[in-house]
Amino acid sequence: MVDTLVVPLLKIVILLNAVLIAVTYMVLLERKVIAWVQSRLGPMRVGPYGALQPIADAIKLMTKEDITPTRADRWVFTASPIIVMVPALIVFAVIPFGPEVELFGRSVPLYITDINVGLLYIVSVASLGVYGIILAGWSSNSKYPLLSSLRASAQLISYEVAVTMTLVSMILMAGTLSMVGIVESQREAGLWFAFVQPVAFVIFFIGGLAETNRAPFDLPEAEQELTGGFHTEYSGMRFALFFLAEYANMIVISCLAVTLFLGGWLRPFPSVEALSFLDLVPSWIWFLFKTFVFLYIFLWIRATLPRYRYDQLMRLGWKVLIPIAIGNVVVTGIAKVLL
Amino acid sequence: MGEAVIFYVLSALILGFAVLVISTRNTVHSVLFLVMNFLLVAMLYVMLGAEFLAVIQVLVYAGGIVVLYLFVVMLVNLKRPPEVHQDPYISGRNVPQPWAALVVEEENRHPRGSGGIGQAFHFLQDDVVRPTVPHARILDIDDHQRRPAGIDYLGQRFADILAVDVLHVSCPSLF
Amino acid sequence: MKIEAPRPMFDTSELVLNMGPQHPSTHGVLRIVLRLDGERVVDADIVVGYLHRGIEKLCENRDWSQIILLTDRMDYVAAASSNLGYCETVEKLMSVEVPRRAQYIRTILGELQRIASHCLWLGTHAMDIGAMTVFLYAFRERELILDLFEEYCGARLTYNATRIGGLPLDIPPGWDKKVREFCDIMDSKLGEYETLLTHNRIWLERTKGIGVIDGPEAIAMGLCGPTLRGSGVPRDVRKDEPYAAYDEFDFEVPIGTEGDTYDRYLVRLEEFRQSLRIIRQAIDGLPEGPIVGKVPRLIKPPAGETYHAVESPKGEIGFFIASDGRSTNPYRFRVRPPSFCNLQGLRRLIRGHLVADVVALIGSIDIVLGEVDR
Repeated sequence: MVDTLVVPLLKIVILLNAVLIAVTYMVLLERKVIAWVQSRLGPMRVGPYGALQPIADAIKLMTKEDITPTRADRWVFTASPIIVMVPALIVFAVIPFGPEVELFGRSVPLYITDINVGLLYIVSVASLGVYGIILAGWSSNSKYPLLSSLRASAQLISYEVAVTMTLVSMILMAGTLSMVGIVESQREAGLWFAFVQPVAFVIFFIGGLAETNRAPFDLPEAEQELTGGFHTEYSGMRFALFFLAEYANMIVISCLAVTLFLGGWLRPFPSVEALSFLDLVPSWIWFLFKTFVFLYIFLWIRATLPRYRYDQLMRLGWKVLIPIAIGNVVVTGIAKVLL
Repeated sequence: MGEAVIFYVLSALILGFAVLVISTRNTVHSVLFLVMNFLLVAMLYVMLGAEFLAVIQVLVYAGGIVVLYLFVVMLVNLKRPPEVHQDPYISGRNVPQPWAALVVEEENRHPRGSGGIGQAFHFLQDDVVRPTVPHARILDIDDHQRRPAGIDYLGQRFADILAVDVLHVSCPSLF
Repeated sequence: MKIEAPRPMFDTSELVLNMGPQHPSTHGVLRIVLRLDGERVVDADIVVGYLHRGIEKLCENRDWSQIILLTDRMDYVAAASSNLGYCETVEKLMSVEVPRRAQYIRTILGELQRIASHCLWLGTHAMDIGAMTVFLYAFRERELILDLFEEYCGARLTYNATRIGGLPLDIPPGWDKKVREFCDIMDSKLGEYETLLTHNRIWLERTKGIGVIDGPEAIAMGLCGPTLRGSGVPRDVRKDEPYAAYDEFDFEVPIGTEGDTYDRYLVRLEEFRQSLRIIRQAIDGLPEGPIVGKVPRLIKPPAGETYHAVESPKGEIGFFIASDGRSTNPYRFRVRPPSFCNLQGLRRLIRGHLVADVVALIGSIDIVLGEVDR
């Protein structure tokens, strides 16, 4: 009973809260990092160094008036933020933050579940998020959100192809769809897959930027062009849901990249004995550290690069990334057969 | 016992959503119910221990094909007038509009062009824009007069979206 | 533009998108009604006038010296240039000789103003294209110029920095040294901007070949300033009809080759450097002497009319002033606003481009709505 119900439920509660807190602090981190890049301070007023800013933001957003435009499709308009948020959260069910560890005299795996189609599960759930975006733009009954939601959905759908292709080559490498299995196979190989599959790694990263609508691919929500994008008409907590979903997706992509390419919870060079002192650091710290590095790069890029144009983005996706990704799959397959 | 309860609840929900899919008037809502339906069916697969099938069900049907449906439906669904400001206190909705039928006739006299992707969805236009039920006709013409912004835009992007989505749908099958 | 073809099944028509007057990238209260085919701009209507205050008419009811501070309110990010233009026009009308020291300081103010205005342009232009960091960097340097202006005349935005016949104030002690320090800082910061933008692939893709306009067409459109020079026309009032002390300094007029957004960007970046060059020369050779020429206490120019133009950061700002010789205010006052003239070209520039390019092009012609609408 304890193992089948209590522990998983406890884990779900902890993880869900951790993710939500991480997401709100992600917003603060972004503001801070970008401020530092731009030689200013960022939020400083709420709490020491602005540490309580997320709480203030949350209170502000929750107490704001929630406006539904007249002639908007009320039900769809209300549902779409939820449709965006839910897939972003339930993906975390299969992310392995660490191996099984001893906790209170009980062996507890540091993931909620390890299903044998884990990677496919992530891809399929993530593909549902696009509904929220299309419907948000459509149901707002306004032109800017509509333009933006079309941009967003076209972007998401086309970059998903490239990303899925890189995942295929990763599956060829690991020989399993299970997230834990992928990490384990990197331990067996004694090497992070990023070193074996650099091309897939880069494509995955670029595609990840595009799929999370982050700079330089943030044109669906380019406030300079489309005054905010598909969530232009949203206010209050419903707007916050879009906002949080975007950051949750960033964390998902980072976790995924870490699991697939950077050895998940493994320390650097897991096969080199000389570095075994690194094992003193708990495995989940390694995982979180690597994820953090990824997130930092996301923010760094946002502070540095201008934005692509819609047609350039599509050209990059279809004419560059997808052919390379397909080529990568073919090469990986051939190498796998020959070796 | 527990499994049976879950099964019957799921089945009831599936049937319920299936009925909603065909009974609801708003086509976009109908598509959303269809998605719900697919997701619940996927749950049924999970109960049967067929996780792979469940995930593929979500990925291909809910995530891929129905997105395509949604685009098509947004394309032909003319129920969304963005521009006309209607005073909520002076509602013209309940007043029968004698000219509505005339517009239908006008539409019939100018059949839409043919060829290309458009032809494939001609039947949808026939069904949705020009229904045979008289009172529905009035409603639809009412909507037709207030043409939404999105439709025009979608019309031009349709080929792109179709191509994108076909590839998207066919991609998982490469597994 | 509408093509009459056999009606397709999906009856398409253009999407009319109202951009502004409340839009983050229209640099004020500009309104553009775009007609879109997909995201491509088929045509655009540019609607101005949301900031119209009737400054020209207002000027006809003010004393000659009161008008200076009205000119502040036109191009409010380059107030000193408008001040200078107006004062020189009146001086021309009255045939007043301005002392050399005042001419030099005016030149320094004008060039500092040019750098400040270009900083603002660079920041907003880059921001429109999505490079948000450049915005804050450019504003950081603009702040230094505002500090210099504050020390000189006490104001940070609307300077009221010149007087008919000279200047209100001599430069404060140590100011020239600070200006020189600023020049050194600016020189190094320009490298930062260039690192972020000039060779950035995305920046190149977003600006190269966007809004191309060749020299003859640009002239026909009435474009002026850096926007015109980007198309390869070496027209610069500072060189062609020197005013203040510009004829005493060495500087070059950068011109573009392609006439696209990227060239206009390069031209303005080079103007930063040329302005610094002019400022350094002016500070080095700053003559001693009075700062106000022989001007009667009551300014009442003789009857007649005149047109005089100076090169503001946006382009050629000209003043046409008619005096009846009797009253203490102008009989007729009219401004040739460079922003307005450049805005005329916008419709031609954005046609055929995408929505994202529209904001890039608005940034690229560098308009200030206070001046467009007056």
